[in-house]
Amino acid sequence: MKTSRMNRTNKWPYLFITPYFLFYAVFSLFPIFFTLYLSFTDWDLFGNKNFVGFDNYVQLFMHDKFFWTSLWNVLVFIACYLPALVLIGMLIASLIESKLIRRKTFFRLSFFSAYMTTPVAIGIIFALLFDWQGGFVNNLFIELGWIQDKVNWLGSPAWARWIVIMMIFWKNLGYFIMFYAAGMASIDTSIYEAAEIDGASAKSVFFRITIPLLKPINLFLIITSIIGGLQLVEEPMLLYSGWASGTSMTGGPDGSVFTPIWYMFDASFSGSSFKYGKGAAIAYSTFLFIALFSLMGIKWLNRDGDST
Amino acid sequence: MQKDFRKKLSWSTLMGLMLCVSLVLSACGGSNEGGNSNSSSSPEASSENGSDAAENGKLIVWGWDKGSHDKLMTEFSKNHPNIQVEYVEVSAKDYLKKIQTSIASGSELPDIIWAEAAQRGAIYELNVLEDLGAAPYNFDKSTLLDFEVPLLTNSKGQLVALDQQVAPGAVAYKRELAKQYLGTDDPDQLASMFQSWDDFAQKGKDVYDQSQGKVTMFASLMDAYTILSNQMTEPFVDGNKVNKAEMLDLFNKLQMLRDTNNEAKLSMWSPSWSASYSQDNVIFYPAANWSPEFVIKPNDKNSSGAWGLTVPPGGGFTYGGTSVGIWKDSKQKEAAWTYLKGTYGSEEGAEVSFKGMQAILPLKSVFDDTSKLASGPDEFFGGQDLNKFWVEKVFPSIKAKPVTKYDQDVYAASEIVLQTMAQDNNFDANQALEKWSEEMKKNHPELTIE
Repeated sequence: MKTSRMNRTNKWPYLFITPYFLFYAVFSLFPIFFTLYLSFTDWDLFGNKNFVGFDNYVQLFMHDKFFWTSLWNVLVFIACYLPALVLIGMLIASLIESKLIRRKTFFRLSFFSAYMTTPVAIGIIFALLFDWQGGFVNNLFIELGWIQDKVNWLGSPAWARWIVIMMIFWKNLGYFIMFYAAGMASIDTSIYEAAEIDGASAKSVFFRITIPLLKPINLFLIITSIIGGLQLVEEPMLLYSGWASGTSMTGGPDGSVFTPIWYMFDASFSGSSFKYGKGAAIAYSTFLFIALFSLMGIKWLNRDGDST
Repeated sequence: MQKDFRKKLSWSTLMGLMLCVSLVLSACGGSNEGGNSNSSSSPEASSENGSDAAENGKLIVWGWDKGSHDKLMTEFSKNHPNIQVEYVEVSAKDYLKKIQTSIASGSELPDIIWAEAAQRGAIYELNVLEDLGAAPYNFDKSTLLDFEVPLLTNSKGQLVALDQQVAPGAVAYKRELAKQYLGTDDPDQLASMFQSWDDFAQKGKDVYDQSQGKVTMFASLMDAYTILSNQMTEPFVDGNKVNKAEMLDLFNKLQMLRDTNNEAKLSMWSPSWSASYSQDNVIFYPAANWSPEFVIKPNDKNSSGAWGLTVPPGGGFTYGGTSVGIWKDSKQKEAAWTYLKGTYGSEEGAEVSFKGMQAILPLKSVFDDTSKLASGPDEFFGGQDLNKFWVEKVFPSIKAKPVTKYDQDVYAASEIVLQTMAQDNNFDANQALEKWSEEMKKNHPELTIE
């Protein structure tokens, strides 16, 4: 009697969460395992669909410089824009939240609006700005007399990287500011008041109170940025898609802005090679690196103890 | 014990249920594929219905030019009122992606499949098109102009599509600039001025020097590549083997044009490239018979009589164009063939195409009496009769090369290489070939380059 009642009460929660798990099974779990299976095949729509074991992975890790270049690129991007976003984001947020600034909402919104812009628009805007012959930046610099000959910004590997870094920085700054501002607003004002009474300078308040108390927010922003950064694809792809610049260039000049996910798209769908097996292997390898770098990030941020 | 058992049971029931649903849902796509191949009817199989099946049906076509399609259908429907065509817009750029994802997921393709110039090789190789030369279609490929056949044939030698129209290519030029820097704006004199690409490049150097770097022959290396690569008669890739000598020759010519300042370093199809049509800095642009309507006039709206068409060194070539085939698992192959024949594959089709879209089909019979094809003087082109130009000046010298599944990637790799060549004067043809090969091998490791 007791048992059956237990069962009745136990059944309902499971029943209610079943729809979610059904969707999860069909739209997530199945694709995840199917992609894993695909990565062990040479499926290419031209008649091949053979099991090839770890061949795709061996090829990728041992013989494919494009894969390593793409991975290196995204790591370089993250290394450049993430510290800048954290530092400048925190600085601007503390300015906005300080007593010096009135009309805080206006400033919050103006920084955040870039984040609301779609990557497609950002890609096209930057492609038009930095166009070699007709771009705004070149024309402006020539008018101002800063340069004599037009610079092929998007044609130079180094500039191409900086432009992508700039795009991501510009887009995400508002997002970082938003989080930091929210974090700062949630810090109990009595802590600041106590510090003020104790005679702490603004600098030591910022470094000894604000930054340590923002640690959970930093952890969240840094880890999600690492994940997002390794999955980067829209910005560089749209910059070189040919929609705005006419000529499309997979990976940018010398593959300088090629990213792993772009490579996956390129191998599987974009050209005429239709290498689904290889694309799946790139997807899984990228996932492994995302897991690795995220773990490293968490460990590093938590090196002095608990995350909170 | 009993509780544990029940608990296990309910868990395993749930898991089982989830698995069943997921399998059923995920197999939805797959079942289509099987279903289609089993139930697909060939014209022969349903011959009992005879002309009924050939004259009735609702076909689905994926295309990217509704305007032309509608005009064509107005004419076609007069001859075959019971064949309806449902047109679905798919952009040319995404067409191949849409086809391949449909195949991969096992969903249905349209009865009528289009293939754009650079993508046709790949679409032909996907084994989704009917062999039109075989029974029951038995289309006689000798009725086509000779240069058309390699453009419509897959690697097995099967004719799998028909062209919507001939797409001859030549060059358009700005009359004012030609008169000023080349001494004439007469199309025939210009054509005879350049016997070879060396002559052209040399003249281009003079133009550049004379104008103090303001005027160039071409807008970009890709413009020159468009002409030169389409003038080739050998495929880029033969089986798995890259035609190294041909590719090197191509890059050598492009390097020569770069070294003699024959290009303005614009990016082909970019906004600044389009804007250059209405400026006075570039003399020549590659042009097909579709270019006046879709490229030149829209980009240079206000000028009239400013343009001309002439034949480039090396002669005419095929530039762009769309071919059309029948899906091999279509359930309405008879109606599809009536449509294809009645629009692109017969004298009836030639009439329909010409009336509907002013399009000239690549059938030999069409050229028996070319006087019908004249389009009259075009004021925008200084009174040139454009159709007459294509028929009389370009067709005799047109060459074409077999299409391959690599064509689209060849174009993409060349774009990358020519960007570098345009901006780095030390980057030579050999380096270009090396970089190009690397790009090609990225997703096609099976290619050999010897």
